Amino acid sequence: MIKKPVTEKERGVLAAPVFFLAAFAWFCFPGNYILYFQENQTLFLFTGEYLHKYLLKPGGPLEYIARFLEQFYAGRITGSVIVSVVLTLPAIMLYRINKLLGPGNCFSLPLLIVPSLLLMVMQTNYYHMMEYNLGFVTVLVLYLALVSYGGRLNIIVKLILVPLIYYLTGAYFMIFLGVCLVHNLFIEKGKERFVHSTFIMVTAVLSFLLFWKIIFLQPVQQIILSPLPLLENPFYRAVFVFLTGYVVFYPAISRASGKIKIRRFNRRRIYPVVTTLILTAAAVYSVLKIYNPQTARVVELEKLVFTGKFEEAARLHEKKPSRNLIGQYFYNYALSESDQLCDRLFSGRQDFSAGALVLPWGGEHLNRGGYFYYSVGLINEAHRWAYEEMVVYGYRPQNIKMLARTSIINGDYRMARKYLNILRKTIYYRKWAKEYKKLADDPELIKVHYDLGPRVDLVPENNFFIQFNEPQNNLPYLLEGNPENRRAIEYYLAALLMTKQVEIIVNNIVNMEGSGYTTIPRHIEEAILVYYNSTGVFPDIGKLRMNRETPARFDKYLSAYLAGRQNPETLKERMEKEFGNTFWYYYHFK
Amino acid sequence: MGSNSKSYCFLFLVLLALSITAGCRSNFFDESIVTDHLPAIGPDYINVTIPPNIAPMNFMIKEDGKFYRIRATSAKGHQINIRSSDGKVRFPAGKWRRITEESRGDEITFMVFASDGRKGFKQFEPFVMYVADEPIDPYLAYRLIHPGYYSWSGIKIVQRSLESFRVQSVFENQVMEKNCANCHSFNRNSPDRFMIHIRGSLGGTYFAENGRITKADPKIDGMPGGATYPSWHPDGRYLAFSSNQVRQSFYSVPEKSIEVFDLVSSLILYDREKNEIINITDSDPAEYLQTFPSWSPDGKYLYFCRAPQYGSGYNPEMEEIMNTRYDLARKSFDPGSKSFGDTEVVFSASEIMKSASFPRVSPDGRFLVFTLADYGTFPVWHREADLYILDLTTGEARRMDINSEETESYHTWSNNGRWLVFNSRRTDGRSSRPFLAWIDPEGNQGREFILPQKDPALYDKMLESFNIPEFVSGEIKLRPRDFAAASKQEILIAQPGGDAMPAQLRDEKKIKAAIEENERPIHE
Repeated sequence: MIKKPVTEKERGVLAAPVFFLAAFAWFCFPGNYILYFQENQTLFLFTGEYLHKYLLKPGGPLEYIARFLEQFYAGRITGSVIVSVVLTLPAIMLYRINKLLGPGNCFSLPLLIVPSLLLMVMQTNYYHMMEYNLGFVTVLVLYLALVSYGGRLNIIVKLILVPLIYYLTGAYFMIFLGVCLVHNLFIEKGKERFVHSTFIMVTAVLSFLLFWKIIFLQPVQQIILSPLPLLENPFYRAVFVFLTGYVVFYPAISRASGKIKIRRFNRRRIYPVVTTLILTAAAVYSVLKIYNPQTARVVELEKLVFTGKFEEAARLHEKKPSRNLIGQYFYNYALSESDQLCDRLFSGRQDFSAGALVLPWGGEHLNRGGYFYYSVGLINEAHRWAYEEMVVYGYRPQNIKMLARTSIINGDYRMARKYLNILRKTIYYRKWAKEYKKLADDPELIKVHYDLGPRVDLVPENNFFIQFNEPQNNLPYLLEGNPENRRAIEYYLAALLMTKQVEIIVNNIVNMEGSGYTTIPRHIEEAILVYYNSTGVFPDIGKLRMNRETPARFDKYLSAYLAGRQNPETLKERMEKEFGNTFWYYYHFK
Repeated sequence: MGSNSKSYCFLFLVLLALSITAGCRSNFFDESIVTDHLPAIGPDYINVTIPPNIAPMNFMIKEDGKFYRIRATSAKGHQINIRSSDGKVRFPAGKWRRITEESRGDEITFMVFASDGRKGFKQFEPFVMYVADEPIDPYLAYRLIHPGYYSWSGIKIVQRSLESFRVQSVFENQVMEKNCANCHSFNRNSPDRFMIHIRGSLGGTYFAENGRITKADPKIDGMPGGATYPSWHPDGRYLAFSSNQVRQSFYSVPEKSIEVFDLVSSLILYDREKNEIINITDSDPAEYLQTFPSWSPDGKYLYFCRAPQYGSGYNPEMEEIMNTRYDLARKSFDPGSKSFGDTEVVFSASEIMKSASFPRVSPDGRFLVFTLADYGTFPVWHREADLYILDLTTGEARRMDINSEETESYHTWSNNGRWLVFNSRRTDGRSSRPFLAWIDPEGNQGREFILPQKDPALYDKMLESFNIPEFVSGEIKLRPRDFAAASKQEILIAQPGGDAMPAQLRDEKKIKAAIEENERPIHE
């Protein structure tokens, strides 16, 4: 006699918390960069206008809830809890659905865990937004409601519910529609099921036409497909298609699996557990395979830079080098912000010559390129990049913060207050806005502000047209107006170092004293010795003096270089080990 | 108790309530402390001149207080009493209509009271709004856009009822593959004859004529760029455009942001009936940058702005741009032969080291309002840009009273010539806002006011600009879906004019090289 559904129940009850804990651990630690990245994509505002924007399209309410939840990703713990709960919900829903559809189905456990595992795999892609999870959760909630109360709903209620659900969930309604049809075919009995299916289909088509032609001013693709996760990654797409198919055919799968009879009691206990473990192992394998430490590093670096932890950012790149252009760009920016660019440039990996100092103008780097300008004091251009980003991508924490800061630096307090008022409508940026609003209200405070105070002195007083196609060409203009702009000087010299233009570097040293330098930055000293070694002429360095250790280091470098030449195959590796953080190594081997 | 007793009892209660209310009212006015200053309100509607058919002039009281009372009294003594706890004053539409109608040619008086919740009310000095006799056009069409640089996302052209707060979309780019709409122009403010220029995958100039939209491309070989800055000839058959290669550069100093300039610009005439283009510029012997064509109301003159072409060619440096100044000029036009007369300068802005743009002649043909800035062709980003009025009968120009410390630019006359709408960045220095001003037959102006909104705090939080505000004399019936449907039409390519000389470019190779060097769209 097949009995003991209690055991199945226990397993089902246990599976959800185990899954939750695993997901939480992942998103709290290695996968947290995904949450940070997503949180930075939008800025949730507690305003009527913000809500209104989401009410103007089918699926908009679902997206609104997603944005609401994503704002909590700003906190490591809160974000991880939220995403883990949402990913666990399908398992809980299916547990309850299973109880109604096929109590005693011994494959209930593997069946219920599949959608959560697949969503977890999908969530490893950092463009997998919360609404995609919520979409599937909603479909399952609706299906649970259908199997619980469906038979009791009269035609009027259904007539209202179909367009309402379509409006609330957008394209996920189509998935739900699929579930309903499969449910009617495989679970329900009698001729009425065909009438119901036809009725729902007709109502759905009419709702679609109503939405498209009359109610919503949206392109047809938007009305049909939004907000489905249509990312271009083939693996991701395959998982999405599989998950959709699984959910749509779940009533049939559930029914079919319920008919599998396993006679032996032990096997009946072991098979589902083994199946679940195999599925979980496959999901874990996929998650680890998709996880890209390089991406994680770049996002982590970006996070440190945006929170003003420049030293930590520099150390991170030096310890765990990023091979990515953006990662190296932010490393250089962090060095500039901590006034170490020409002292430490080669302590971190540099693969892009001067390309990692300044990002070219264009959509690809719209959200990052402005930081170079911000650092060197070309505030108008930093403002423009942030503004362009805001226009294209909407409000994001970083672009609104940058707009507020640059407006304050430029003395445009009216606009600064507008941007700060936007941030004041958020949970996580309210405090920041309050601090900066004090500056906009009392400009005297700006001079002594740790962040904005020094930047005010860098704002150019000489007027020129900004060279946005060749950004590095702005540096000589900036220096012409303000020769003491050390960040501009160092970016200028760093570009020369990166492009190995030693002669131009040494010709500029004589001017450094006038710019307030009392010592020569480390890599510039290294460049002097390269120049001296190749020409035999020691350049004019004015009253500045070289660090005594530098020639000693250079001698050591030369000796190692000459010795290493005996074995050219290992030369580069050996030199990198000992001198990889010098201009000399970069000059000779990169 | 009999029915009579009940009636007496009810009457007594009503009288009691009325007496209590009356008592309160007299207390409220009598006990308020009178101050000798005007209340701070936003938008600043104090002493402005408004049309009789304007939507309620809602405002916010910017005085300390927990409760506010406002009393608006018409010339005939009719009152609107409003209470507010947040300082926002919103007038009921029906009562507002009555009070403005009653006050035509007279004034409405506003009394503002504020209370901190403990003591009585503080009464501020009353202020007035003058109500003109002449109505304003019922609609205003404008483009809603972030006053940005290169990028765009959502763009709408909307019509706003000036008699209410109703806003309807005429064009939305979300159903047009996110294309950019960058010009809209009406033939004598008509809702039935206008054009929108769209740039992108569904690009073209969309002409809406009596409910029908046609998609055309008024561009022929040899024109330096697309057809921009349109102006309809009053008879609706012709449109004058300028064809410009526009560039923008960004300044390094905080006081300035953008400079938009033309590498080359010339004028063309587009014949809607024949779908032909003829060149206007080439009949001139010297090389000029010519732009912003604008017809006189009788169609006999085409006004425009012109400046000498850059000495350096087609890649001007900043200094050269800052020394480029446009004069106001005009050419006579004979519609029968489609021919233009010689150019005559009507206002030499360069002589006073200024630069003129956006000429617009009043419907009675007497005045021409234009923008005057220190240099360049595009005053929209010049803080010093102001509106000037030129009396065409005397040739005298004067700075208008409606200017501010910030940019004033794009302006249009109402159909009856008594109202002017113009853009100003005075509210925050960055976003353009539409202001309305009354102009009397002698060219004198009433105090201007910002377009009223249902939420009087809207401008404080809104970042978008109201770009190219144009009066419309009725409701535009076409909607975004109509433009989306028209986008599927085959585009009607214009042909070079028959007997007239087709557009020809001087130094075509040089210009092309300059164009390719920095190919980018421009927004505002």
